[in-house]
Amino acid sequence: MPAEGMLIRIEDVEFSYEAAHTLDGVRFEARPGEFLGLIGPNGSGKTTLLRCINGLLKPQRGAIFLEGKQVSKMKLAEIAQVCAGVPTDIPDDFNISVEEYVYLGRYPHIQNLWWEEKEDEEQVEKAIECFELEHLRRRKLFEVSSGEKERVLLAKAVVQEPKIMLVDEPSAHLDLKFKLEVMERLHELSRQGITVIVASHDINLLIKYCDRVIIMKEGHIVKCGSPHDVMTAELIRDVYEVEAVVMKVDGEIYAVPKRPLKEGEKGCASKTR
Amino acid sequence: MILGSASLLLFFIIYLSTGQVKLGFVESMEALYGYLTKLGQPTTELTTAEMIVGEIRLPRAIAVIGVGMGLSVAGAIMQAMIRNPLVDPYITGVSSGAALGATMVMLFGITAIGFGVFAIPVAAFIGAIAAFLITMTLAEASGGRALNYVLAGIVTGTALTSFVTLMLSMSPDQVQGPIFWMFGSFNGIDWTQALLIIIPTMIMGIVALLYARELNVILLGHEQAYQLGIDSRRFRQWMMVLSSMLTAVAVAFVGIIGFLGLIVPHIARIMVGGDHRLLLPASIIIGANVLLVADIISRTITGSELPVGAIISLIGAPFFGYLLVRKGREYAG
Amino acid sequence: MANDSRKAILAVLIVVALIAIPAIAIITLNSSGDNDGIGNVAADALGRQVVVESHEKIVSCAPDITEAIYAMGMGQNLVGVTTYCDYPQDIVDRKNAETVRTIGGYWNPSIEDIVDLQPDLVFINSGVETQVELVSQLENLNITSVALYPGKDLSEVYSNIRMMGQVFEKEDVAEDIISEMSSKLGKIESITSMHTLKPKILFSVWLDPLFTTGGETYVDEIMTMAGGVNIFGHLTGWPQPSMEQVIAVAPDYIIVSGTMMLQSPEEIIESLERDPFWSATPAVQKGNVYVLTGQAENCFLRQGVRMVDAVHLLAEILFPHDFGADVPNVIGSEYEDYLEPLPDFAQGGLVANMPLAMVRE
Repeated sequence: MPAEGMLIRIEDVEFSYEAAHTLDGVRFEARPGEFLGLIGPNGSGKTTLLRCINGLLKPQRGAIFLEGKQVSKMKLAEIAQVCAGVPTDIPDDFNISVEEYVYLGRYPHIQNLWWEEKEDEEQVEKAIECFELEHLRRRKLFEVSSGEKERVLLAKAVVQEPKIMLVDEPSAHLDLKFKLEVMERLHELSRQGITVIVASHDINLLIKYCDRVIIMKEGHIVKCGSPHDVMTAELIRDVYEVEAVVMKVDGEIYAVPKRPLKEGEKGCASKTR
Repeated sequence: MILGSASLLLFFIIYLSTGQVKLGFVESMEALYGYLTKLGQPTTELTTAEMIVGEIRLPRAIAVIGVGMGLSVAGAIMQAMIRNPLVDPYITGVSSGAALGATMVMLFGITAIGFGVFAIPVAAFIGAIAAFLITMTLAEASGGRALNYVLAGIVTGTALTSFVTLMLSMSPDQVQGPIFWMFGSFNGIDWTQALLIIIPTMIMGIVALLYARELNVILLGHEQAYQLGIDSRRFRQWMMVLSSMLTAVAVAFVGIIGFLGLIVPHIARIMVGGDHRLLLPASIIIGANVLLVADIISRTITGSELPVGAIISLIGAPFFGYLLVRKGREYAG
Repeated sequence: MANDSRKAILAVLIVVALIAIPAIAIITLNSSGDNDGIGNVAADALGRQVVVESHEKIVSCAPDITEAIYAMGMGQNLVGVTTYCDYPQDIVDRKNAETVRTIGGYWNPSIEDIVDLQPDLVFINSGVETQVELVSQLENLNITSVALYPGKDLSEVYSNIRMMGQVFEKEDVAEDIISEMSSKLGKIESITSMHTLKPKILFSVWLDPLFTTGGETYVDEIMTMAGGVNIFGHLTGWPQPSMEQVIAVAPDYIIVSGTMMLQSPEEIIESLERDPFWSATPAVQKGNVYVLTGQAENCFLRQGVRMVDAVHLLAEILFPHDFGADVPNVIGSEYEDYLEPLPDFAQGGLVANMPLAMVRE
């Protein structure tokens, strides 16, 4: 398969945490500017996969390529210039201001040993403006609300000038409005050319915004494709062991869970690629 | 920063002017000038005042500044590495190792003069580094995370201290030597020791400054730092080594001076914030200042010297308490 | 790029460090050459060869050193002593009259004060860390220093006296002192050796908790030379026996080093008599508890020329009839009044020669 035009290529990756086989035979590709959603129940390997992509974990078998270069052969600094991770949250014991925090995201690109240069300043200013953090600049991190914090996290990731953004459970603790807001922004970013991969439990959120969804269960990819093509009640039953209804409202797909399956109703998951 | 440097200079001058022998301020300065202009000539040419100021107080002042700088930077680094503001640079057991080395030399006789004058500092230094290596081995073997270092350090420190205690209890008549050493004092510092303190400390201080930005990023946590391109585990190892060496150099020549490495970075943090590009230089200046003041006090309050470490705690603790209350809310870590 | 400039700086720093540090160390370890002087010590306690050019102004860093200097007849040349130097009385007078300066204590002599005196000669005790540290500083300032042995036994005391003899070019005076000391010791021994049963002594430096002197200590040697037996001599260092052990060994004499204690000497004796355990010992029952204070105590604890006085005093305590002495239970600085003159025995045989044989060259 040609690697041209493909930003990320993941081939037959296997990864194990000690005894458990966490990832098994994972393979997919992503184009620049795609918005991908990783769906799957706990333990399906979503987070592990994300960690493999940005080099935090090294798969025992298989390879991951970013822009044609193999991740396991790249230096950390190189990876950081291309791939940014957005954490779920910031630790609270942090005594620096929002502005300083965003500046930290520039680290992979900073040329000067001590000071920031014009280019760094420009990037940070842009991000602050884009994420409406102007009034929060000098505020200390622990004084900032959850919703605002999310924007700060994104701003820091953005100044890293990444081509790929990996987001793990971005909206876990956010209320409805902010959940949607975050996804809107990520969508924006993908339209600007950044490949965004989001892992989340919130199926509907991903279905709504993502170009493609990758559904994982127990370390395999069960199905991969655009939400409209792929999301079925059957799939949900297989992967999540939940009885659900998938319906179309105003041209959008929604999955509505009804009840969890009881012991006798569970079948085997079908493995299709 | 400028204020700090100015006060540093002021304290330096006061330092040179005070001591057991009464010399007026002007006289001290004249003596200093005389000494500096006579550098290179045999010491018999010097007047008494010049001898005192130049050969005794000057190297001592330099050593004080060096130790103040070194311990403060080491403390700041440790706090960043362990991601906890409650640690001090002795946390890896360095102080216990040094105490063990020094005690062994003192109890088992001073070796031939070939090493003679250096016997204790060398032994203390080796002890300190050995302690750190043990801690690091234990910590890395158990996972290499910050918490592992703390625990390993406690294990090593406690074990080594217990050796020291055992040794001392078997020779209680010789207890004073090691105990006085452990109190920490700048007595007996000559030019050689002063240079051997200040030069490595300044070099290592510059190295630390070079990595100030990385220290900032490390605070984000292992995963985040990794994603920004820093191998935080490797980086932590190197920084631990650096911090321990800074501490070992200080402790080897001077004994155990507590409080400095823990509190000075805090004071600096309260004053200039958590960005290490400001924090490290601030720690350096503040540390040097504090120790100079403390040593001035320890030499002038009574006829004989008081241990510097105690003086430090006496002046520093209330001051820090005051700062904490005033700025406490802003300051969470 | 940031990293490159950083690497460059690091490289420079490492080079500087690798050059500077060994350079400093090497320069220090190279001692300067030496010229002729009047006194010459082949090897002091630190193994150095010391050339003494003059001894007009002397500084002593320990009380026993001060006493030895006076014994050598050079006491008038002292310009600086420690706060603890209190014997002979002359030095106390001179301190009060401020013709002699106090340069600090035993553990923290003040280098500044010493330098300010511009002495020709400084004596230090090589067993004290802080004093040994002075040596390098004094060398830097071209002030001659001589390190004496700590004096942990009689032979070291003799070595120190000999060293002083070399320093002052008064070897004969030194030998006189030594032979007088050893002859006295020999006489004492010949008297005490007539007793086959040696009294058991417990020497306590602190009562609560109980600290006694063990074997291979200075005081232990005094006890042996005085004809007694240190009941804890089989232990080394400064053991802390339990009261059971004390009762079990049943000391005949209890000597208490009393200056540091809070109670007065009389109170100490009384408290022992009242105590059920202590009063079970033969020593307390027979009224053989002695408390040393003041200069009497110093003889026992200062490793120096008055060691002989300590042995003499103790021997008189143990065998009052033989010496015709009656030492009171509380004995202080007036102890000299109680030292009876020793009979003139012919010294023959092993006994009188033994102390000399212990002398180290």
